[in-house]
Amino acid sequence: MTMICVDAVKENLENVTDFVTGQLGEKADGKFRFELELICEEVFINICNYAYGENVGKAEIEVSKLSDSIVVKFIDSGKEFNPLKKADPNINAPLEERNIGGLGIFMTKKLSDNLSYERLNGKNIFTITKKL
Amino acid sequence: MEISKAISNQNVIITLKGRLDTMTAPQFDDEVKNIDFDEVETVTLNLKDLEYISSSGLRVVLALYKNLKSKGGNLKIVNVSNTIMELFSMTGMADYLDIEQA
Repeated sequence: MTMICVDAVKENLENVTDFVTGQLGEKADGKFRFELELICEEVFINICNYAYGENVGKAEIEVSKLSDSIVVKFIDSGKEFNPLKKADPNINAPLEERNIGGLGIFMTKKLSDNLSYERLNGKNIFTITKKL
Repeated sequence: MEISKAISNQNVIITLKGRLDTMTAPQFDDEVKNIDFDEVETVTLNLKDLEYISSSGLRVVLALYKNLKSKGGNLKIVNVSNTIMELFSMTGMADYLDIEQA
């Protein structure tokens, strides 16, 4: 397992996605890399936008590469938020009637093989597994 | 992220090159806000050199579509890669958008 801890600010997006995709090695194909990057962006930006309100807090990202999957854990000490409880957007509605939000978490769910959330010692721990 | 815009008569072609993510989507949003929706008939988005898009980019596409539709205009999206096409399908946007794959 390797980890980084960064300020949860948008300017760190590239640091976070580079760190996570950097664990893939050169063999990972473009599509897998794209999808993993998308997942990381959506989860990290969500933390940046909502976890700490107006304040700046930390986000810790742990990556474990297993033989058949990659596991990415996002940990923050912000307010309690379970992304899995957020309702999915209505993807059948005509676009004129759609709200602008909710797509990021929705795509994260679709592109991951397993997601889990726990609130532990004042921390949000969101764990994503994606099969290689 | 590089954005280029070509305007002829009532048609606008916007070409996006690079990565459309949380950091670069505001640039694209600015271009969209500069469009005169009362005058424009069709906006074509050329995604030939778009390497990556996240929900922040999709949101700007959605806003562009809504603005055009409300004034009777059209949106065309061309040269869409397989991976980006999957995102349009996954989000149900492909059912309503005029998309040509690469």
